[in-house]
Order: sequence, then C-alpha cells, then structure tokens
Amino acid sequence: MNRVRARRYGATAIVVAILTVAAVVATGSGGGGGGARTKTKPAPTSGEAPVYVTLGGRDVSGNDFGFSFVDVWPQILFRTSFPRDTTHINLGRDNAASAEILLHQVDRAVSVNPDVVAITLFQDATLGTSPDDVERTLGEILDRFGRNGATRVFVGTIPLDVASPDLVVSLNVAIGRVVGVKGATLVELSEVDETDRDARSLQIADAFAAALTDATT
Amino acid sequence: MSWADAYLVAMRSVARRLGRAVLTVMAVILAAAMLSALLIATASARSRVLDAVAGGGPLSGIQVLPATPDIGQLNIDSAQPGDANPIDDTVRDQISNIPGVKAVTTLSSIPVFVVPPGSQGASPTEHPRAFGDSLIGVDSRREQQLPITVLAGRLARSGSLNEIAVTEGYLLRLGIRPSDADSVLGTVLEMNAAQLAVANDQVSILGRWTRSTIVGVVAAQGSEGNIVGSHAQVRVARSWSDASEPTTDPRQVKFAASLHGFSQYSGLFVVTDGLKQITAVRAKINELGFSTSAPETLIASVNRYSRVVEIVLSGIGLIALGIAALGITNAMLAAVRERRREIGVLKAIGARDRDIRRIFLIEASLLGLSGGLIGTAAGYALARVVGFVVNHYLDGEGVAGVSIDFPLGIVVAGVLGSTVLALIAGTVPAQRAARLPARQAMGDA
Repeated sequence: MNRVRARRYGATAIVVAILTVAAVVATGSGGGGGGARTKTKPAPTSGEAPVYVTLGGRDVSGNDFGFSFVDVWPQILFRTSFPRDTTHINLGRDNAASAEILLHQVDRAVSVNPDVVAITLFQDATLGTSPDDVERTLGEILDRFGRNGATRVFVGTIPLDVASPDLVVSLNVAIGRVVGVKGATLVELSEVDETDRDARSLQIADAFAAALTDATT
Repeated sequence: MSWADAYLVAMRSVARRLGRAVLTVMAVILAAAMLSALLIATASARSRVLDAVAGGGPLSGIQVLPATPDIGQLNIDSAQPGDANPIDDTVRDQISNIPGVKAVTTLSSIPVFVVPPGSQGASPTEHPRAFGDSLIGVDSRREQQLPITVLAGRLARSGSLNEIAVTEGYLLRLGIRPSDADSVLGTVLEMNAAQLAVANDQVSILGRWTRSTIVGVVAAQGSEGNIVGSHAQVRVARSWSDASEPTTDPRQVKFAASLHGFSQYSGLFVVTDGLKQITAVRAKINELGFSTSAPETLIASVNRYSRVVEIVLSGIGLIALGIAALGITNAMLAAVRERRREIGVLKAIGARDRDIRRIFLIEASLLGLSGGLIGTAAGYALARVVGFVVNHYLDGEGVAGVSIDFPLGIVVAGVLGSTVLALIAGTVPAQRAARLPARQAMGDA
C-alpha cells in the first residue's frame, strides 16, 4: 500500500517538475541577460504599441541628404520593418556625435520607454573623436538603456568613406568592443557607399533591418 | 338607399364606362404625380442645401473658437475672432449649462507633417509630396452632433491611435478626384508631430512619427485641417509637442508658438434646441468671452427662398389638379346626360334626391381617390428617378448626393387633396342629377 502511494507521489512530483520547467521556458524567465540587450523581452508588452527610437547626427535627422527627412534611413526602417502601430521617435540632430547624444538625446529616449533603439555615430568620425572617448561615451549610453532591461539596442558602425579610413577602422573597433561588452547588437555599415547618397539611406536601413530580423528570430 | 347600395351603383357605373373613367383618372394621376414629384424634389433639395450649409452637422449648430469675440461682428455668421482665449473643460461646462443648449462637442487640433502613401519610399530625386497640415481630434461617438459629413468610409473610432479620416482638401492636394474618394480608403499615411529642442543655440526639430490607416473621407465645415482623427491621437501628439524647449530663434518662434497648445480644445461645436435658439445662445457664449460662428442668417435665407419655390411649384401642380377636376366635372356631366333613364328608374322605385347625389359624389370621389393614390405613388417614383440621375451627376463631381425621403405629409396631402378636389368637381353634376325630375328623366329616355 505504501509502495503504491509512494509511486503515486513520485509520478505527481515528476509531472509537477515537468510543468514547472515548461512554464519557465515558456515565459522566458530562465535567462538572465545583462547589458543593454535583453533576451527576454524583444517585443512590447501586449496592448502597448511598440516604440522605436533613433539617435545620431545628420544621417538620422536627414539634413545631409539633399532631400527631406521623409527618406532618411530611420524612416525607411520604420516603414519597412516595424508593425503599423509603432511610434518612431527620431531624436537625431545635426552634428551630434556620441558626446552630444549622451548629453541631449539619451534622456529623452529613455523617457519614452523604447522597445528598440538604433544609434549611428558617423559624426564622431567627421569630428575626429578619439576611439577611447567614443568607447567610453557609447558605454555610458548603452548602460542607460540597459537599466530598464526591456530595450533592444542596435549600434551601427561607421562607413569607411566618412573620414580617413584609419580613424574609421579604429573607431569601429572601439564601437564593436563596447557593443559586445554591453550586450547590444552591432550593425555592420563600414561597406556602405558614402558617395552614393541616394542609395546610402536604403543600404543603412537594409543593414539595420537584417540585424533586427536576426535579433528577433 | 344605403351607403353600400350607393357605392355598388357607383362602382357599376364606373365599370360600365371604363374607358372614360380611365381617361378621367389619368388626368388626376398626371396632376397628382406632377404636384407630389415637385414637392418631394423641392423638399429633398432644400434638405440637401441646408445640410451643405450646416456642413453635415446639425442645422442648429454654433462653432465656438478659443478667441474673444469681435464686438463689431457679433451678428455676422462667420465673425472674425479676436485675441486668444483658451477653452477648457470649465468653459465647456459653462456653455453646456446655457438655456437652449442641447449638446456640446469638443474639437482638438495639432500641427503635423503629413507624408501621404504615394511619396513614402519614393525616389529621393523625386520631390516628395509631403506637407504640413493639422490633425483635428473629434469624438466619433458624437458624429451626429459634429459639423462633418462622411463622404466615404467612416470616422476614426473613438480612442483609436492609428485610424484617421481625411477631407476633400487632402484629396485635392494629392490630385485625387473627389469621386475617387474610395481609392484612399485603407491606405496608410505617416504623420509627424514635432518637438523643438535647443542645444548650443541650435534649434532642432525632433519627430514623433506614427502611421495611420485612412478609414474615411469627410467634408468638415470650417475645419482648419485636412486630417480628422481621435482626441486620443491629438492628446499623445500634443504631449510630445508641448515638451518643446523655448527658443528665441526668429525663424522658429512662430512655429514654436503653434506647437504649444494654449488651449485644451481648439474649439467647441454647440447644438441648440432649435434654430430659434441660435441667436440667444450665441449672445450668451459671446458674453462668456468667446467668438462664435453659425450659419443662422444663411439658413434663414435658404428656408425663405425654398418656401417661395415650394409655393410656386405647388401653384403649378394645383393648376394641373384644377384642370383634372374640370375633366372630372365634364365626365360626370356627360354621365348625368347619358344616365337620365337610370336616374328616372331609380327615382321611380323610391330613390330620393340625396341618394342620387350620393351615388354621383361617390363616383367622383372614387375617381379622385384612385387618381390621387396612383398619382402620388408615381410622383414619388418619379422623384426617386430624378434623385438617382442627380446623384449620379453629383457623385461624378465628388459631392454628397441627395437623399429622397418618403414624405408622409406630401403623400397624405396628395391623396386627400385629389379626393376632395374630385368631390368638389362632382358636386355640380351630382346636384344636377339629383334635381332631375323622375318623369322628365323617363320621358327624355
């Protein structure tokens, strides 16, 4: 009698254990990713429209393309890669390098609780910011987004022809390093053709879209 | 002789001379059809004109602007607003409590940058057809109380953040014919609410972009914008724009002022209990310190002129009915002459004068009643056909069509009028038949 009861308890315990593991897996509460990129919440909570924020300089605000901000890469990405109910907050400002992004754009971005943040630092290459400064500043930026644990951050590298190739390469190495450490997603843009301005926006948007797809699948 | 016997004799007489009866009734049918068709068409046209004057909203509507009234223009339909004067919930409640006010609906607005579907993703070398406009927030649950006519589709659902309706102005801007309004339904446009940010003495415009599906095309009276959404859309966009930082940059001062909403609502639409209350309610709202506009003078003029048209057309229809009545008299007099022997026989077997009179009056009223019924129905059908042709034309012009209602009053008046006129027309022949001496009737026969 006791053996039968013990078997029943044992079977019940196994079932409970299996259900618990299944529940943990299903809700994704088993992982503990740190840094800016969260592995547990790629999509917004149900009932809330996704918020997508872009930070950067002229390539984000759209003033160096010779056409309106309707066709900048953040807007193309918004149009092609996000659900229709997404809100896009474009915080790009002319001449904004990483220091100004940290100073003037990050607070606004954090305040809107973004689900996705896309950043480019082309202006750092133009202004000749040192790789160490970029690494430190970008690290602080990513830390700010890492705090709420629900924001997926994508950081683009700098196209090689934006400034002297040596500087751009060293900046991209610094960007890649800090992005890796902070758990954000690196978007490879170094091969983007700067001279073809009409196509550049599309190329950047495509690269971010591919990274977004990779990250969410 | 009982009424039933008189009715049977009259019916038999009509049946015996069916050809003449049909021709007589035809005259009544034509007259009744003409009269009712003219009146129905006039009533429908008047209703359509008033609808256009009221912008699709209630006729007894008053628009209230967030500005002080210009004292010199208080009695003008579209008075020029004075200095800014914000409208909030307190003002709305004050106006709601004015005697004669039936309902008050709120309007909100914010400047937006609009990117229509055709220019999204267009080649950068092409000039995008993006433009600055205003997003107007309304409560679609109170559609009947708004100065808005839905031309295609519907208004955005109350509380929706991703649905909008556009006006004909939007269609014109995109070169779309109003008759093709349906073609924009289901398309998606992008809207950008701006926020000014100042850093290092440099002003930047930060964009909050959303995409909305166009669910309707509307005609909006006195609207300052071509995009009509929900209050919720305006509210979230305004919370973004209101965070703009102050600037002294002369190029941006005006734009910055437009972003900061000084008033909770961009306007109110007040519906009064009736047209007669408009003047008094406008005066009260002006006393509260707000500029108003209402098409009361225009509506009164339209009403006055449409009454004149109705009277003239009614006169024409009545002349036709008069001619038909003369036809009835003529036919009945001929019947009296032909039926002398029958009248004599009826009198010989005891029928009194009033019985004979009754038979002829019933016969006349039968002709009038049947002519009135068929004629009024034919008039309504004719008005529907005319309405269909007119609507086909208006649809081609992209204008809202005319609704041909079933005016019970005109139908009842048409049928009763024809019957009464026939009765009057039959009075003289009936009297003559009744006074015919029996012997003379038999002798002549």
